[in-house]
Amino acid sequence: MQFQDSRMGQAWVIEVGGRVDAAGAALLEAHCQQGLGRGETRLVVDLAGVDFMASAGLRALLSLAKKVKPKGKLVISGARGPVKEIFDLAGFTTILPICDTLEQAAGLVM
Amino acid sequence: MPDELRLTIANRLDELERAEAEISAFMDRHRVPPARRYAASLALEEMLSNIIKYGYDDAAEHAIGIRVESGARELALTLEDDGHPFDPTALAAPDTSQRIEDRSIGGLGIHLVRRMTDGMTWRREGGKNVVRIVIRRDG
Repeated sequence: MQFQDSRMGQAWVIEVGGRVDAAGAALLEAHCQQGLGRGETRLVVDLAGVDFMASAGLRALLSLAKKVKPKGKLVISGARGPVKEIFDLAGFTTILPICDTLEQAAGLVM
Repeated sequence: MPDELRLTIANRLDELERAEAEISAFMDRHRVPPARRYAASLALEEMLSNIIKYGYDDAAEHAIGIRVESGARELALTLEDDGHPFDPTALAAPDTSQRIEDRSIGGLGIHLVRRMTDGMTWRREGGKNVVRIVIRRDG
């Protein structure tokens, strides 16, 4: 599991790579939590490099979205193939903003 | 080439990685298509982590049996645990239409597995839960 952090304007962009299984979800949550601790409120989580996501990953993203909601926003981008299907089947496409590209997500998060 | 893989893991989350690696290698050998591999991998991850986290009423070490069979038309994944009786096929689907604030996320993993795979059965046999999940190769 890898994380590549960058900024697009006010947005904090986290490009995630690898498997977001139970162990990966805990790492993802801890990584994002560090940013929230620094005062980040606009998060783009890019999943273009993710080839596997389990329910633990969805739970981690939902929990982070709830945490940033009072002051900011969390937007997902880049989910593809079966990873995208997982979001659909879980009904998450209606409760979390999901974009195809990083650029769209960086626009939407502001 | 054997068309069946059997392994036993202990009820610890760090055992999942080993199970995943062995089953992944088995699926490589049996040329399972990528989307179907995802379904098998998801089933393994969700069902095993559920058993490990919620299946036992004591803190003792337990063995979980895993069998993967590769047939011409389908893969079958059978999991056996000696935890308390739990029928995952009887679990109601979560309400995926609720707002973010109201969403409780229990049962989501099993729901995803049932939607991504082609059949799940449960039986209680000799003090064990036996769950069998079928994944069609062309599904």
